[in-house]
Order: sequence, then C-alpha cells, then structure tokens
Amino acid sequence: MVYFSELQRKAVYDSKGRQIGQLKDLVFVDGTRYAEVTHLVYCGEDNYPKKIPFGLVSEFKEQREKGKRELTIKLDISLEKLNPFFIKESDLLVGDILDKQVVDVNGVKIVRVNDVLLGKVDGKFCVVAVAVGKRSFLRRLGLEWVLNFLPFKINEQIIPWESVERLEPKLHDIHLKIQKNRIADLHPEDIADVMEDLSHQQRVLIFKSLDKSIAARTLIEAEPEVQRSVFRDLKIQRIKDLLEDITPDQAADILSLMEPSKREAILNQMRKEQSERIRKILGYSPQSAGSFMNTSFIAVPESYTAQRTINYLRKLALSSEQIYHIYVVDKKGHLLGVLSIRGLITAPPKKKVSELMKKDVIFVTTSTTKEDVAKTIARYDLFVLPVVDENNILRGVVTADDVLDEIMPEDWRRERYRPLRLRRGENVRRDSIKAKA
Amino acid sequence: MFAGIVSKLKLRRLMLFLSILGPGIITASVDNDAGGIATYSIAGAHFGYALLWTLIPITFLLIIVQEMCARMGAVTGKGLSDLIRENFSLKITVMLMIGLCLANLFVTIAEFAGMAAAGELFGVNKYFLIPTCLIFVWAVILNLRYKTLEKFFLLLSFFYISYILSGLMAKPDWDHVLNQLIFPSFSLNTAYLITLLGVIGTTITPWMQFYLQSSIVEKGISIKEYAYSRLDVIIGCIITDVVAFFIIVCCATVLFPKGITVESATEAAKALLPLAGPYTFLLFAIGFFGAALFGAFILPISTSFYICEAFGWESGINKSFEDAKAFYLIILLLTLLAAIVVLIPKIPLFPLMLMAQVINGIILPFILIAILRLINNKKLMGSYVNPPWLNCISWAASIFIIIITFIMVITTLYMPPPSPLV
Repeated sequence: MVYFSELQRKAVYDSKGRQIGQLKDLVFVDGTRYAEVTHLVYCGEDNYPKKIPFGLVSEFKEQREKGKRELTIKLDISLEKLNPFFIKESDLLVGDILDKQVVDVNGVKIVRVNDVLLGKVDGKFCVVAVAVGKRSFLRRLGLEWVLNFLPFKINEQIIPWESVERLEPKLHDIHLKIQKNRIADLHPEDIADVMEDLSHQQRVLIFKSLDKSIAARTLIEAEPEVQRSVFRDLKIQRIKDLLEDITPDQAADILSLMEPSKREAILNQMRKEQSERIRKILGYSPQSAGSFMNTSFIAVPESYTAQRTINYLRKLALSSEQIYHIYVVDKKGHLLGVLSIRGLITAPPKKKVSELMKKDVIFVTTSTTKEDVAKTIARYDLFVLPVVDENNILRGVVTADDVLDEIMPEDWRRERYRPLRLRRGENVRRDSIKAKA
Repeated sequence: MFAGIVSKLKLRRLMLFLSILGPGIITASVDNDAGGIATYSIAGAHFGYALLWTLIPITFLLIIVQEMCARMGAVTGKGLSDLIRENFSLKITVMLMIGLCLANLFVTIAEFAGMAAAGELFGVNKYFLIPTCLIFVWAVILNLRYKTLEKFFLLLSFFYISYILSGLMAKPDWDHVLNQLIFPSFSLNTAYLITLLGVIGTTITPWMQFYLQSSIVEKGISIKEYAYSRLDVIIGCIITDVVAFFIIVCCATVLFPKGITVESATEAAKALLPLAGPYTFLLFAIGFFGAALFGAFILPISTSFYICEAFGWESGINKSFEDAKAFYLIILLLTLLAAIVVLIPKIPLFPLMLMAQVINGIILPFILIAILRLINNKKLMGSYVNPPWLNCISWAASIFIIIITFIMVITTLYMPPPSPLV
C-alpha cells in the first residue's frame, strides 16, 4: 500500500545499486475494479521520460528518516540490460489522475483528487483508490508532519477505483464520477467486496476512512476473515460505536467472531439494554432459532385498539425490518396472537386487537433447530415465524430468508450474490446475504 | 426589401451581442474600485493632465491580458484556478491561493472603508451604513441568479457615468487635455514616478483575471460566441479607462491649478465642493460610493470562485446554496470580516492596503506567466492558442507589467506613500 505522491520523484536504482533516474509517473491499463500498473516512467540524466515494464521493479525500499517514510525504487535488472520505450500518446498515466475534478452523479462538483492509492491485488500492482481527504492534501504539500501536532484527528477519504467512473477514455480531461452525493456513501457491500482482496493494512486504512454507519454496514457485509482482520486493529470504543448502529442479531454475529475477553470488554461498554439483548442471542446454542432470530419485531398489548396500533406503527417509522405481522402480547410478554397489517387496516378503528387477532399462532422456540425451523416454514408456507422461549414469552422472529441463509451451503450464497451486483443502485435486499460465522 | 433583411440580420447580431455582453464590462468596471478612484484623483490633483497619456498604453495592456483569460474560459469551459490546479503543481496553487485570498480580503476591506467614507460625505453614520450595505450584499448574492445578478451589475456600472458627467461639468480646456492625452510627457520627479506606477499597478490586478474567466464560464459562453465576448472585453476595458480619464480630468481641472493636493478620493470630493459646485461634488461622491459597493460585490465573489475551483468545490451564482455551500460561505465570511474590520474604531487601514498592493504585486507575475503558459498549451486550447504575433505582444506586455509591478513593490516597501489611498 503506497500513495503515488510517495513514489513521485523518488530515485530508481538498478540491480547493482546504481541510480538510473527519478520516477516520473506510472502507466496503467484501466479496469473496472482495479487498474493494473503496467509500466514505470522515469527520467534519466537526459531528462527525457522513458518507460519500462513494471515487472522489472523488485521492491520499494523504505527508509525512515525522522519519522518520515522515504521510498526508493529498486529494479531487478542492471542498467546495461535495460531497454526503455518512449511514452505513447495513448498511455494512461497515474499522474494525470491527480488534481482532477470529482463530480457526483448529478454533475455537482465535490472535490479534487489529491492522491492515488496503489497496492498489490492478486499479485499485481494496481491503482486501488483515489484519495480526496485533507490528509492526502497535506501530504502532497509535504506537510503531513503537521498532523502530529494537531489536537484532533484528520481522516483520509478514499474512493475505491471501482466506484470511479471515467467519463473519457483519455485522461486529459477526465471527470471522475462517483455513485452518490457523498463520497463515503458507497454501497457497503461494494466496499466489503473491495476489502476482501486487500491486505490487512489496506483494509484498516480504508475502513478507518469510512463514516460510522457505513463502516458498520460494511462490516456486516464483509467476510468473516475481513471482519476479524479489521477488528484486530480497531479500538474497543470504535467497535462499540459500530455495533450500536446495527441490529442486535448482526452485532451478535460479529461479536461471536471475537475472543471472549475482547467481546466482554465491548459488551460491558454498551448500554445495558442493548448488551442484554446481544448477550441473550449469544447465549442461544449456535444451531437454534434463538441464534439467528431477529430481535426487532412489533408487538402490542392486547388492550390496544386498531387505531392506536396504527398510530404506534407510524411512530416506529418502519424502523423495524418486519412490519407485515404485528404480534399481540400480554403484560408479561406472552405471545397471544398475531395480526396481519391487512387485517389491521381494514378493521374498524375502535376495535380491540384482541378481537382481531388470529389466536392459533404457529411458532417455534428458541431451542428449535434450524432444520426444524425450515421445515415449519415450508410446511405452513410462512414468511415469518415468531420465536418464544420456554416460558412462552415472545423473543424474536425468524424470516424465511434468514432460514434460507442458515441452511444453504456457503458456495450457493456466493453464486446468488454475484448476479445481484449488476443491479447496484436498485434497493436490493441484502439482509439475506449475511456472512456466516 | 433587402434593406429590411440586412437590418433584421443586424438587429439579430446586435441582440446576440447584447446577450453576451456582461463579464468583460463588469470586470473592467470594478477595476475602477475605491482604490482605483483614489489613485486617479490623486494623480489628477497632483500632476494635472500630465499622467493622462498613460491611459492609452494601460488600456492596451488590459485588453491583451483580459482577452486571453476570456478566450481560455470560452475554449476550456474552466476557470483560471481550475486550469492552474490541473496544470501546475499543488504547492504553487496553494501558495497563490493563500496570497490571493489575503490580498482580496484587504481589498474588500478597502471597498467597505470606501463605502463608509462616501457615506460620511453625505453625513451618513458608518455604523448604520456598513451593516445595511452588508445585508444588501448578502441578500443580492444569495437571492439572485446569474442572469439577474449580471443585469444588476451592469446597472451598477452606470454609477460610473457620474464621473463622466463630473468631468464634463468641470469644463476643462479640451485642446490642452487632448494634447496631453496623445503626447506623453515625462518627468523624473520621484513623486511623479510613484504615481505613474500606482496608476498602472491598480489597473491590472490578479483577481480580475480569475473573475473574468470564471464569469465567462458561468455564463456558458462557448467559442462560437467568443467573437462577441471579445468585443465585450474590449469595450469594457475602453469604458473603464474613459472613466479614469474623466476622474483625472475633473481633479486636474479644478484642483491642480489651485495647488490643492489631496490624499484620498473623499478629500478630492470635499475639495471639489467649494470650487466646482454641489453637483460636481454630488456626482463625484455618488460615483465613489457606487464604485466601492460594486467592488464589495465582485471581490468576494471572485475570491470564492478561485478558492472553490482550486479545491474542486461547486461554485457559481447559479448554483443553489445546498450544492455550493463553500462558495457562498466564503463570500459571506469575507464580507462579514471586511465589514467588522471597518467598524472597529480608529483601526489603521492604510497598512492593510499597502500589504494588499505588495501581495498582489508579488503574485501578478506568476499569474501572468501561468496565463501565458496555459494559453499556449495545445492540449487545452487546440487551435485557439496564441498566434505568434500575439504571443510576442503578450509576452512583451507581461514582462513590462512585471517590471512595473516589481518596481512598485520595491517602492511601496521602501518608500511607502505618506497617507491613505482611500
């Protein structure tokens, strides 16, 4: 992981350690997700830019001087054997991406590219992202050291190359187009996708640049391995903040990946009611309905009228995942019946829900195995099932796609995942594609 | 019948021209802002008609530089600041921006101070006038779209007619005036030379180039309509110097023979009152207020334009506040700061003005060289690069301006003029 500005004008040495010139630029071939760097452009003593295949680079040598990272480029080949070409008009240069305007889909100007992030993906050196934040701005000015003296933190903002749309094939006058109004507002599943292919440091770097709610959602979409590697480097406080932004069952999913000691530390810092809910889910045995049920559902007391229930729904503002079924419970939370939203709306406003509800509710218990849950859903042709504990107290709901996720083999889910990608932009439900522990 | 068609065609072209008209005239007009008027008044009162001849080469220089910016705007569709960031290093861009921003803040303060001074001529308290003007400026910038705003600005340009009238009312000896205009006179007197430099120095400023190019872009003028736009620029530059001519003539006719030396535009207005009558005084004072108000609009807008362009933030009067938040906030902040500074009792504004002059002087060479390099960049300008003859002239003109500004910066630093310019 290296920024283009860290390479620019750095010395290039041949295999015998002789300096052959300075790095001027990098030539790349554009691709949808990454753009592979194919050539290195350098200037020798004659001050005329020449390019050589990037494969000849053996390493970037890192030297730390007074806390500053200084890079030099070492080649695998000796000066005598070097056979440079001239740059062509059609070559795309990384340097040309710098300082270009970034506009959103509506053509509103947002910011300019301050730096380009390069990294190894599948063994190839690629353009991974463009940096547009204040941090890269200061780095370009050679003022990155200022950051050490600031009382507050300045984050980097990064746009993955995948989300960057090149308006013109030539870079003379490119506008980069990003998906949404705000830079960080990329689809979390896209970011999660990108992160899978990155190294640990890259992940943490990109992850830290995201804002809280997006980071949380990215985390849910990410593969367990990515989740683990990100967690290793995040502070407890930040993880806690992230987990508070997602539903308890998702939080539980993520927490179950962590070492018990760290998990406890995080849970102890959360609000009590929230940590209780998560602990409860974590406590259920991994194969049972309790472990994958959704704990946000809608339940109303039996004394409510239809009108009052509708008002209540309105107040919830549909924050709950599931509003098609409203459960009726008594004061202690015992499940009494279920009400469809259709039944609710068509009912006379003053009628009590206890008179409207269906009493013979099909339910499962928290200890029901996932196979049995699946069977129940299939047998009764249901979409949602309430989950009660041993005391018949309503604890959560399980949806058909939650179950599908649980019982479907891993590789099937990935198959289904890909075609959905094409429909990015549409609001495809993705809850169903949760990563499995 | 043919005559009918011809006149119809002519009418059509006239309409087209009128619709393109704007950026050039507005930019050039604001060149005669509070500071400019002060300089011309001083020049007229101290040296009579002796400096009139400089206006002809100044007009020429102004046209050369402004035309290039207008052309770049029409061809590339980008502001000068956009082009600088994209074609030169980030370090240079940031340094230019910091300098320009400071200088423009100081000049904006001068505009507000000018309004306050003009208000005092009419007995209006500045603690009432400045906040009123500030709110007026905000209301106009936040509410008007570019098209309406441009018309409003063109209207403000009419304020300058008052100077032409006051010059005419001074009843100068026209034979003598024209003689002095056409045949250069020269003196090696230090005060004369400093004033000469001042006159040239106030005419070509960095911010004008940015404002002109950005407003050409915002107006959406393309290369097809460019011929009219060029005419707009040329007419603007000529009008500006015609106004400058009448300011000098007015002060030179009335004040110079009596040996009355003035150090500011308001002093000039006060001195005119007993000698040339209340009407001349009134026209002079109104013109001065209008010029300062105009400057208080344009300078913040131009500052905001080039900062936003450099950082890639949305900019333009046509954009909504939501889309171009930074653009509007910079304008609001600059004007607010300027108004506050002017309202601080007994604040010495003179050092700020000198600083602005020095910073502008230091930056101008870089801007001119940047303009010349950009306009000759084939990748950007295609076939609209400078033809060789124009290149010779513009390089010569730029080098001349650079030398003049260099001397001016040195003299301001080592022999600062004794008293305020506004």
